[in-house]
Amino acid sequence: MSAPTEPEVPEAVTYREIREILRTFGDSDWTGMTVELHGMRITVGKNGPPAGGAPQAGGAPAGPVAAPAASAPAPAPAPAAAPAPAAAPAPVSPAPPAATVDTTGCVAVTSPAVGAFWVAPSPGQPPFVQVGDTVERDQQLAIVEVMKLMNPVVAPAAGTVVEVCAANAEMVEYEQVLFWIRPHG
Amino acid sequence: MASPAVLDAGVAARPLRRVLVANRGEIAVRVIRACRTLGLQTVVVTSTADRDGMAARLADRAVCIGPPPAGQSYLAVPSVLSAALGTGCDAVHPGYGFLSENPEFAAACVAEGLTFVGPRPEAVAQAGDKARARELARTAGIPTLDGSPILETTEAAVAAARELGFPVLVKAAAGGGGRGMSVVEDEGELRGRFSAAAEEARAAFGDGRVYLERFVRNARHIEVQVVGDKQGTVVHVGERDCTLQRRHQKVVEESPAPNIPEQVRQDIRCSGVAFAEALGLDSAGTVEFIYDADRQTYAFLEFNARIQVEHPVSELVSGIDLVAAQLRVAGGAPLGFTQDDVHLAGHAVEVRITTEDPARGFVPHPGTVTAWEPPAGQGIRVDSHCEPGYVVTPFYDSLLAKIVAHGPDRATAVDRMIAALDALRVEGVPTTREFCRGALDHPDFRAGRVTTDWIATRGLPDYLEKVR
Repeated sequence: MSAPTEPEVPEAVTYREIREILRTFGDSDWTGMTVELHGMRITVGKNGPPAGGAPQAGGAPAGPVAAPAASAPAPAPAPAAAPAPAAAPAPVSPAPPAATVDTTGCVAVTSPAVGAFWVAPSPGQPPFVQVGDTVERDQQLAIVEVMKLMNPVVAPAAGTVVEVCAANAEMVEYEQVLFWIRPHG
Repeated sequence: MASPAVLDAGVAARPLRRVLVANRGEIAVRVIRACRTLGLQTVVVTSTADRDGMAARLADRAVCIGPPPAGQSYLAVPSVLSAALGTGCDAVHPGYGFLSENPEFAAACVAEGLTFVGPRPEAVAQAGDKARARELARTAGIPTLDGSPILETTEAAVAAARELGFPVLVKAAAGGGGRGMSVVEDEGELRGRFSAAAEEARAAFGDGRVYLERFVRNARHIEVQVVGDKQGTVVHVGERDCTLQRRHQKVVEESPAPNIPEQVRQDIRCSGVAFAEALGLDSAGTVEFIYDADRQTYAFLEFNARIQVEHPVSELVSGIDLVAAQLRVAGGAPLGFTQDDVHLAGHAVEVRITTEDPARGFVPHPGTVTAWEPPAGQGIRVDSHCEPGYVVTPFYDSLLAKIVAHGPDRATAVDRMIAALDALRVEGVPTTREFCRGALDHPDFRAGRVTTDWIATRGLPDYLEKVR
């Protein structure tokens, strides 16, 4: 799949490779798959959690597929959308996060800079906002720290927070979507 | 001389694993490829304008760090550092331009525990200060373009001029920006004009002090590629002739320099090494000289503490991967070769294809490249980030590709380049292709007789006459 000019495989699994594996899986007619390489395990399933691939973290499956709940119940606190696969030697890139929430009609809140994403004013304090919270326009939602400079992330519109798209302390890129807000009509 | 154990002592560097490529365009692609050949992982920073570009696809990861203006992305030190640290990089390669010769950036990388792929920050700072660099050259015994002291009498002026050699420039100490100076061809003219020049200076600037400087009428630009390691080895990889310029922008570069006495060529190379040794160069760099085609002498101009745009011509004649060498020595490895191992073979020429319109004063021309078919074949190398659909934005330099031709001799290399330029297909934006082709095939260039003002005085007028 990769260009023939590419030399050897890097020592750790790269984002490109994970993407390639997922694409190959998607094109196949398999329903589930577990891949282990370089100490990293990826378990994916097409129609829910794969039959054989028992999630090793005990709780919810950590794959990109989550049960898309037929009749939407009361909005429970969102499961921590931790995309991190099993302990790997710091991969170049995090795995693509799961898309679980219907964001139709929502407003994206993007990162003002490249830096560390902080959901709370300081460690140990409660987060600025959580999923389900109602926010005012210009209310602070998070911090993106760029080399000790704290950049506030504010709500572009009044509404309800429907998704927090990055994990606390994770590096986020410029213009990366951090929150989805459903504006109040 | 020294045993390996002694050489290794005091080298604090560690081998690199993951490199942040802090640049864009063809040089980002070039650095990513070099990292791959060394088995190093790559993260490239991008602005929103380059997020879907070739470098972003080739790297193991791309991190968008800001909007298109370079000041908010490629030049934003905190953002670049943040991307490097946030992705677990242990080194930063700055490419050329942008942050490559910013000593504060180099120092900030080191302070954050990142290996800066380039010379030590102190060397970057010293090279960036032109007065300090010139002083270093002088103490290393390298010719510099010195002026005389202030001259009070005609006899003192004549003595100074004899030392410098005619023609000389008579310059007013209070002048500047081209004002208050005149060219004097010989001693008779100097005797007749000197006291009048002092009077004119007094009248124009209220300051009658004047001094002399050597006047280089037919100047060529010759530079020496040097590379060193942290163990103290410094070698040169031959010289490059970058005389074809317009408004101080290089257009065509070649190696070796044509039409120059062999002894002068050797002296220039030795001066390049002498400067690099005086600086304690522990990476790749370029020592630039002005060559006086009439006197067949040279003088130090400046030092560039980075990989240069035109480095491929040196790579083709030497077989040395200079970017890989930069990465290896940054990780503390010895260069692995000495001057005796550097064998320069054949001749290489590079042409910069930019999206500029020579018929309109080389105005950069943004637009979309609708068709792109680079040349290939014997002795042809193309360094480019261009592809069909590539959008040339107004935010960055307009370089589309560097085409490099190598051959056993200069005539063959130039012939191959002309054939390559003919085979290049670009649609959607104007380019300098035709202009460069005309310059290469011009009798002046073929004979190695061009000077730094050739494009302005001869090349461009000839080209404009042809296209109209």
